[in-house]
Amino acid sequence: MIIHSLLFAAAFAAKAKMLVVLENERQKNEYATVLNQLNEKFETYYKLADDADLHLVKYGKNLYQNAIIMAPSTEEFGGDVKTKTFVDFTQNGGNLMVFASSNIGDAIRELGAEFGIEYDETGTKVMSHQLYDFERDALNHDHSRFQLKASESFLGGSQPIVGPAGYAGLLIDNAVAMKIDKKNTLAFPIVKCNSYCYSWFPNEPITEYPMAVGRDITLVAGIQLRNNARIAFFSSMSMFSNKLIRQKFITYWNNDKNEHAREQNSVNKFSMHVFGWATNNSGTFRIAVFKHNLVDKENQRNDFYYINEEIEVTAIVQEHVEDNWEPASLLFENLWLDFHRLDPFVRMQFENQGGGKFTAKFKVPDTYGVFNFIVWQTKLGHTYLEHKEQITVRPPRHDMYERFIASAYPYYFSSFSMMLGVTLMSFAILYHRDVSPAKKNN
Amino acid sequence: MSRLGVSSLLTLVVLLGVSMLGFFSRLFAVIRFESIIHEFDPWFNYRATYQMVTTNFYDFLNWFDELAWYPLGRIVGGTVYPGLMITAGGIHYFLNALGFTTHIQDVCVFTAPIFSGLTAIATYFLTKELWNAGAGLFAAAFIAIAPGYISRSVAGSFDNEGIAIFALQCSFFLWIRAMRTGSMFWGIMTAFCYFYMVSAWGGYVYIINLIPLHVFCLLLMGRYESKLYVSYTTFYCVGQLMAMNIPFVGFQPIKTSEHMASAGVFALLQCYGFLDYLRSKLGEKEFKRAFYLFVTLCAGAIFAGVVGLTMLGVVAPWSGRFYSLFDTGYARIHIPIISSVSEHQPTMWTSFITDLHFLPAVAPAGLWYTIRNYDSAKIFLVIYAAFSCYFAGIMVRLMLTLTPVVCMLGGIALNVTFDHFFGEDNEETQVEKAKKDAKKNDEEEKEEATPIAIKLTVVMALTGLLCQFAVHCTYITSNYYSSPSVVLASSRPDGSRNIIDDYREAYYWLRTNTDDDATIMSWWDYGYQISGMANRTTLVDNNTWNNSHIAMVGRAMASNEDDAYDIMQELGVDYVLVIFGGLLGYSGDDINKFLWMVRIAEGEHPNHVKEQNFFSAQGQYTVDKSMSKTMKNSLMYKLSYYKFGEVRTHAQMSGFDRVRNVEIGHKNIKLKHVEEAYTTEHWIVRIYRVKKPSNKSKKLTHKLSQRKKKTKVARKGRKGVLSTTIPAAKGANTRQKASFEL
Repeated sequence: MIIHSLLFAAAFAAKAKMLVVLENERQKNEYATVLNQLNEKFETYYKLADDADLHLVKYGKNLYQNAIIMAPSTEEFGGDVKTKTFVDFTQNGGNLMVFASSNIGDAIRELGAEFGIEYDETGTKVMSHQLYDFERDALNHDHSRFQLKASESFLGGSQPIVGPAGYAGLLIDNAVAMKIDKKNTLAFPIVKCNSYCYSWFPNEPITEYPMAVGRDITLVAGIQLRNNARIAFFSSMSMFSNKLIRQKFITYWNNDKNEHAREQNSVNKFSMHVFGWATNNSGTFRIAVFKHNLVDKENQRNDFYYINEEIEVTAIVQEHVEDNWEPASLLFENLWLDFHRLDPFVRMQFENQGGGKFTAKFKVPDTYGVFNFIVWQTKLGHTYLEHKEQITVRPPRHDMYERFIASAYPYYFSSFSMMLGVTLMSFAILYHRDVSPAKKNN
Repeated sequence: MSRLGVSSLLTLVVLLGVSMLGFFSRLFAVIRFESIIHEFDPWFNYRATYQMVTTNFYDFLNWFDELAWYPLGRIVGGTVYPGLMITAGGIHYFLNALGFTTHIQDVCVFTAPIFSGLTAIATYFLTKELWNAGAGLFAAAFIAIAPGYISRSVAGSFDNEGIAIFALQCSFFLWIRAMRTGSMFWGIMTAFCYFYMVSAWGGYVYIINLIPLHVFCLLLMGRYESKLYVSYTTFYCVGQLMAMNIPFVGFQPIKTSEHMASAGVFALLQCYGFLDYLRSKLGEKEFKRAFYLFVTLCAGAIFAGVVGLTMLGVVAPWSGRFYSLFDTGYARIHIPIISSVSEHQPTMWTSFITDLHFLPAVAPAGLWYTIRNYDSAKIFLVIYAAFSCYFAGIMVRLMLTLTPVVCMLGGIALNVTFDHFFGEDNEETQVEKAKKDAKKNDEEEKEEATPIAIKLTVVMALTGLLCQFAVHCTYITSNYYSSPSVVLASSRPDGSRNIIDDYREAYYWLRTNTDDDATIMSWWDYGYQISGMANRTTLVDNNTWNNSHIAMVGRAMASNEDDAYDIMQELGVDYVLVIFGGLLGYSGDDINKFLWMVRIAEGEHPNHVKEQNFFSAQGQYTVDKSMSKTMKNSLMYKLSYYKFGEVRTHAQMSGFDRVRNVEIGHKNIKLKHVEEAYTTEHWIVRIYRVKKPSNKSKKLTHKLSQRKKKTKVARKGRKGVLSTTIPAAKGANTRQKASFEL
């Protein structure tokens, strides 16, 4: 019993496992700031990309919940890891973060292609002539380290991916241009370039139209697969290095050195947010309870309804916070319900009761059939919330109709009066005797 | 006195024997195979009966079947003729009350044979009422074993027709009795029997049109009498009131054209009766002319009234099914779903011989005798025969209504013949009526004494014919009408039987391997069986009430895989089931039915499905190399022939379809949105699972393919390759230099 509870406690306390794939041991130091963030939150395992003992999936099961691939130049992974392995890993629900760089190798390129992300050629860099490193690039034409303002390049709206907090911007370094395939409806850009950017070989004349320019270039892309596995693609790795995280923006203003430009690079905060999203630590919801019943009659039948009945649907939404499921925060604002039979007969918004509780009251349509309660919510950065529950809507029983209706009283009267009439007539005919002529004469 | 006793005892014994014969000759299927429900519709009837027996009648009446017509559902109580279920349920209840514990399935299996025995008895009484007891016995013996009736009433064929023919014969008998005696009692008994018929079969429309027609003919012939008035009015009023209590019939008796003839005759009879009364009071000779004029006017007014009401929409026009009885081309053009059913096809002349043997040949003789000796009652037989003949010629399934009347006419013909050549002169009790009506005839016969040799020859020839008839009926019953069609049988070269049980294998697989609420898409033929045997939800079934839903399924089957997938997603389909006979040579498969699916789909979705596109360039419907692209890409083709190209069913080639006798044109079929879930032993049933949308979007290929790809296959435990950890030197530009420089 004690052992059992200990085991249980251990399992409860266990952090999610994360595999960190690096190119070399040196990177542990170079990227210590970012990696320490991960070490705090996860049980991390470090492997080199060319390690012969590199495994992600064994016997059809994931060995880790999350994997972060910080080896942009990988041509071929060691062990049994192939592009297909990553597909299997995500199909099993594993989350993935993939870093690229201008020296991108084939393995990463194919991994991107597998999920509908296209990289520019190896050696090309994303460059900007607007806010580049003035001191470093004074002489050459390599403007691949530049500043990007959050206001013009970050994913907007209220979403849990980068969060609402005020960012100054990012310092981009040695990024390879990334493009999202237009047909890929699951992918979305998290950070885009501004319109001054383009992608080409540094210090070389531009001889043809670059693969991507301006806002076409995506620097950070997110994908949420249909099974809610999350993938984040970063086009630059070195921007997360200790050195660049500490860099201030000041040198990147071309000439205008005003106060605003002294702000800290927000890459640290940004990475925390995006990593949190990509590892299912923010924006992860579930419908914990979904029930329906007749209005104010919670414990009565709810396996079928009759037409035109008033019913009430309750859904409790929970959020995944630090390995626990807690009532959804205020970030989760609304929820929609369909009452569906080939077409939605009812489509309405739940009423938010607070504390993750949502209720909806409606009248069952005047049509019988097999209906489905459908909750299908795809909000950017949120888990796809999908819930489908089949319910039968029946016509009333033969004895559920009104027994006597007022408008039928003339008919009742006519039938009874006729019965009476027949009886009287029968009596009259049977017992009536014509007055005999003899009597008449008398 | 004792003679009468002997003859009635003999009659009783013969009748009993005949009805038992009728019962036993329907048991081939049970002995050959097992006690199993047959075909398609019986499976629903069985399921409904089971539902009724396990709950109660009111629950059955309110039963909402959510397994059928997903997602529309079906209110069974309001869309079914409950007579069959109540009958079987009643027998079951009765047996169990007596302590004979039987399962409802066995009761259902044996219901039709039991009622066939009763039909023989009812036929005896009807024929006796119309002719005499001798003819009645002949007719009873014929109907007991006539294949035309057996085809619908073998053990296991738990269908409405099984009990409806009994109700039909019985109501006709009671009607003749009522119009002859003119008693309200028999009129009401007719109404009761009619009510039973209404509760059992949609064919009750036949009764409610035939009896008024009889009355109308009698009026035309001036054979009106108060007996007719009493019997018809009681029958009509009570019968229609009761019929309206069947939920499925509802207000149809006063609202639809099918019933308007009976209402019209009812009104006409009132006018006629009133005028007849006036005439009897007035007694004037001049009245006669005015009288007929008035009656004709009345009839005209009633007819015009009915037509007018129909035009105004108060009375529903004839339903398509009814209309197609008069215009044989109507269904093919307007309602393909009706003409797609094999039993709605016109009858081939050979089936008259198969189903009735020599009876069609002797029936006209019987008809001739009937007409010669006509009276008010016998006219009914003439009308009955005429209409049955017509309808049997139009639809194969209406052979069923022809069989009883042909048996009766055959009985009469044989009775007269045997009386003439075999009968004793003083046997007046038996041929009393016939002789009375044909007194002159009789006298002539008496004058010419037939030589004994001729008598003997005729009697022996007729006896031989009757023996042939019995042999034929048994042969047809055993070889053609006793297959459950759920289980198939083939014979091996050595003569032993090989049971092909693919249907049940597939349904059992569905029952045990799929989710409880899995939805299965198949052509409507298999709907009842899937819900009955596999207990799973179906989209369409044999109760073909919703043409557009069926057309949607037809369209899915006829579309290419992508379009079909969209439709299937919309309809919530989890599995697709197709019937394929190409491996075994089983011709009733879905590819052979496919054109009907296309036609039905085209009727509703003419912009998406076109029948022309499914024919080859030569205008043929084929599956070989010359087939059209639409055919090749259709879901039905793909599902039927998936992986069939790998199978060798012919000495020279693989993928040889043994039904169509061609090598299939497309062997390497790839499926995109569905995957094979199960295929039965002989490939008759093939089940496919509809895949969920892929978790991730499609792989990006167009750009990658341009690049030189390294095709090394990484082996397990192999060391990986890194290009470099140090940023690469700005190396050679692989891009093509343009002709100009910046």
